[in-house]
Amino acid sequence: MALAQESPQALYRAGRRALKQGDRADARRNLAAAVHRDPHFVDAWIALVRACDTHAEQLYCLEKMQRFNGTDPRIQEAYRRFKARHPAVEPARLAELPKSRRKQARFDALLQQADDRLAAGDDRGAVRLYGQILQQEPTHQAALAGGLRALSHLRRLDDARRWAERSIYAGNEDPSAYISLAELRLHTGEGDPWAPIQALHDLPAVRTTHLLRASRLYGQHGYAKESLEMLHAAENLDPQDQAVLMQLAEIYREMRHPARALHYLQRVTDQSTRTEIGQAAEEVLLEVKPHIPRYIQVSMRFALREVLGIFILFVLLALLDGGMRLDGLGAPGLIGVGLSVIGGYLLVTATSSPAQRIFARWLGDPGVQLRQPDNPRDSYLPAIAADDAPPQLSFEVRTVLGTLGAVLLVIAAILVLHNSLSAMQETLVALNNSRLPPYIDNWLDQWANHR
Amino acid sequence: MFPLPIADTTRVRYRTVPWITLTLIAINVAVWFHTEVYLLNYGAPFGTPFGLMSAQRVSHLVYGNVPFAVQEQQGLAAFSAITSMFMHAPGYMICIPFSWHLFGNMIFLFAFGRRLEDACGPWRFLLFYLVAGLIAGAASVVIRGGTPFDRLIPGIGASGAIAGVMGAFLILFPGTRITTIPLIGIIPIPIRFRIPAVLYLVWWLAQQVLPAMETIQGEASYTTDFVAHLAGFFAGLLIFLFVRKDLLYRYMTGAKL
Repeated sequence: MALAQESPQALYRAGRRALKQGDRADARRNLAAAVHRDPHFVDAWIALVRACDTHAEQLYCLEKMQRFNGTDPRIQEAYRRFKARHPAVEPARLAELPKSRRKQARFDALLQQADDRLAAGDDRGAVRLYGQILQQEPTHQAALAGGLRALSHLRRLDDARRWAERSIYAGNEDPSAYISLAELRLHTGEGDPWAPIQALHDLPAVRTTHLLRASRLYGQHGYAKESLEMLHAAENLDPQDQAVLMQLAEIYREMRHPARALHYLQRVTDQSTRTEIGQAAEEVLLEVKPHIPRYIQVSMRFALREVLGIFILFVLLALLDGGMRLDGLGAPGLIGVGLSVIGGYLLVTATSSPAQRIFARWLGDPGVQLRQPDNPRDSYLPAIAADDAPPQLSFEVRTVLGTLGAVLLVIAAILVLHNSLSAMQETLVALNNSRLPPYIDNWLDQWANHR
Repeated sequence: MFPLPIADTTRVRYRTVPWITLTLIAINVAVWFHTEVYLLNYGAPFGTPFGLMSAQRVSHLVYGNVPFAVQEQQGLAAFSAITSMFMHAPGYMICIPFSWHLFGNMIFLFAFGRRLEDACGPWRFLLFYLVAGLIAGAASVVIRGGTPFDRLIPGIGASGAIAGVMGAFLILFPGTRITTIPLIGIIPIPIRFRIPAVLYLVWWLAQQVLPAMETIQGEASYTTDFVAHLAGFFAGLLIFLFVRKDLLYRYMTGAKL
């Protein structure tokens, strides 16, 4: 039987005839060939459903029918009735029809020859051999894939598109094939290029790399919204994929949503800064004003660094107050220095380090949710929950801590400067009364004696 | 010829108004006008066993950093280390009040302080400025306080704190270029030279080392407190305690500041 020479209608008729005679295998072969040649041939599809051996295969065919002819009321009705009768059935691909051993050997030999020609760069010869296989078995996936490559090399893009369509209609569920078909349709201007891309969502083998490719394809043709949707689908598939997160950051930067871009850049660096993408994200972050990585935001050591600065200031004041002698500090000086550390820490926590793990874990609020942009043009942007941002102390808690810290620092200043404060009184009283402070008379005496 | 720094050539990265630097300059100028112009000309003199003493001179003794006062806990004691940071020597130029001491310090503060304030944020910069000034003042008290004559001489000026600013600038931004104009005597030549900050600051530091060593060893006595300059400059090492977190992160990762 030479299927390739026959029209879809002839194949359909042969299939119906075989079905009536009870030869389901022959019916299936003819009807499958008919729908491969014309995927919009609804009668052939319905007949093929009848020729299937199992409910799972029937559902598979019905879903395929829907995908290619979704608006036809007969198909919708058939699908609805099937689902009502068999709600729990999962679709399964049509079982391979058994081939004779001789036929299989001939196919294998032809395929090997074709693959060798393709590898040797004889694309024309490879196409001819793949064509011979497909004449015998129009749905042979390996032949379709090889032929597609050879046709692409030959720049016969229209033929390549047709072969890609045949491959997908024949049940190829490789997401790369769907993307290749979209690219070929875009090149040739034939058919809807975005239908195979939309179909990616339903494919079980789809990975983030496929969705990224699809997103880039949308982006290259100016479909920002669709490109973004693809990326978010990829993000849902694998929330830790650096390439996806980086692409999201870049697209948001281009769309002038810096807060969202920062959110994704931060997530890229959270995964790792040792990878190439992580380093690139870190470089971008360093160009964006002011960026503090999470490990520094939540670190207590970085908060204590600032407290150390305050501590040094108070130690210096205490030493100067104690006449630059350690024993001159006294109990008030030591207590003042101690209080300065506590007050300084509270003040630093309230101001520059409110995300420290030690406090924020049980007193903190979750990160602030990124607001939707006001521009209605961007109303499709999804909300981004900043649940991965470190929790921060609330404004109220920070106010209380900051006030307490400031009060403690004032008390600490009074304590470390207790000698100077009491000595200052005498000076100011004398100056207010237009008198020279008495200790200056003493200095002048010393000065005169020295001279 | 002295290359007077007038600006840092790199644009300030995140903020445009260095409020604390400008406020410090304003306070220094205001205090100078009060003590060195108003009190000198209009302040009532004080009587002493050795005759009258001008109010301006008394203000130096009371508010200046006198090692003896600090050591003996007299007068303003520790406070004087802070108040002295805002006082400068008097001066006149062709009958117009003008202090090279004040002018020099303030132009250095303007040239180096703005970028450092940007790196620290205003309040941490103020804290750093005070710490650097106090370290310079404390070093001055310890070193000069050892000599019977020098311990009674009030130290005034912001140069200790400003030396700290310069030291921190050298650590954080050594690759930056500083715009300078040559000063021949007191006459500025209107030609701009761009000098790498590292060269300028190391040259400045080298000028302080020898006189400071002589002062420490008691071999010489200068009217300029080189010890305070040197101590202040090395206090610049503490800048890492005051610099903003994001800038510290950039510094740690070797990114351009």
